[in-house]
Amino acid sequence: MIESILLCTGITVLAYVIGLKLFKAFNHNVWLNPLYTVTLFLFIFLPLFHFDYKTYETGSTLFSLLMQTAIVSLAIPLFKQWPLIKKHFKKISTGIFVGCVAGFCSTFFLASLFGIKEDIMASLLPKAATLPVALSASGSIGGVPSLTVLFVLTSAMFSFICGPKVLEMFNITSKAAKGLAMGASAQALGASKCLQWGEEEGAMGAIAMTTTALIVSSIIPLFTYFI
Amino acid sequence: MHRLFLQFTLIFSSLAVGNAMVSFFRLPLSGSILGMLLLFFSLLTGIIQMEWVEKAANLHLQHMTLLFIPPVIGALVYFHSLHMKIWKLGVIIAGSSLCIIIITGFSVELYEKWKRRCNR
Repeated sequence: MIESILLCTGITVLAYVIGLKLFKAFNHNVWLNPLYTVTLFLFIFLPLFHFDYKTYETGSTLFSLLMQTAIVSLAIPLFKQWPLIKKHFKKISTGIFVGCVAGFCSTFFLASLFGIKEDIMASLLPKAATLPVALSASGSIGGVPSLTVLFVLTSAMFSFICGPKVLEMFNITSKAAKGLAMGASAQALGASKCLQWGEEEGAMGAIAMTTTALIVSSIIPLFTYFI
Repeated sequence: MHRLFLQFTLIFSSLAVGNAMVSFFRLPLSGSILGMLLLFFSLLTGIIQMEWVEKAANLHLQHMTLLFIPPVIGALVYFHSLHMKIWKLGVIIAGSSLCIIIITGFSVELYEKWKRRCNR
């Protein structure tokens, strides 16, 4: 057990450090994000080292613990954003709350329409939250956390790519609306996009990410009664 | 280095208190979220100063990607054994993401318009 934890942690950290170096060397090219390169690398090379995926998974306990402390660390950006949140409290809370509920309803509706099984539905529901929060929320309502990862990442990528066009198409031009919409749907990716648009959009994007996480994790427990 | 370790211990203690409270009061929340709220309110009331946790927290958040690697590998492995129509999942993800973007955007704009009318 301890052996596999040490091995898993060691290999992952080493691969991550190399991946990060590569990412920096190529001027932070989006497609060379360590998340893609390192995951792909490990996925392909683990079997070559006679390292079974199951052993790797049992060895990743340390990472799941650090994921929880990462959620706790989100208190720091939330605290820094607090003056701005307080100033626009009603606007932010209405927008994010309505958006989250819309996300839940549309997911629930579409999934029921397609006859998706309960455990997969439970993994889909928290996908608007930032990854560590979505993971713990998914586990708490009987979802499959590793599927949630995939759903969170694909929906963030999708929103990151299509979001700006959609906002333009629907003639949504207010800075706060754009920032909040992107942050609520694409989390950190969306917030980074907003920062390119301007300071206010960027701040709103980052706020949307933290508040969406809060709202999703407080609404999710209600779904234990539905699923 | 040891300062970083102390800062991390403070973050970890928030998590531990959060987890303990969740299991003691049987709260329907996750311990980590409660831990975050506890740390947030301690910062707000000044029980904990920003400088006591800032460095460790920023380092932690900067390298959050590292923590996602094992679950993503788990997802890839799981996806192999998932026998279902992937296009359905794609439609659900795309549809609800669009819903979130459009409805969040619209409701914020509506709120701003309504506010402006009130102020006039």
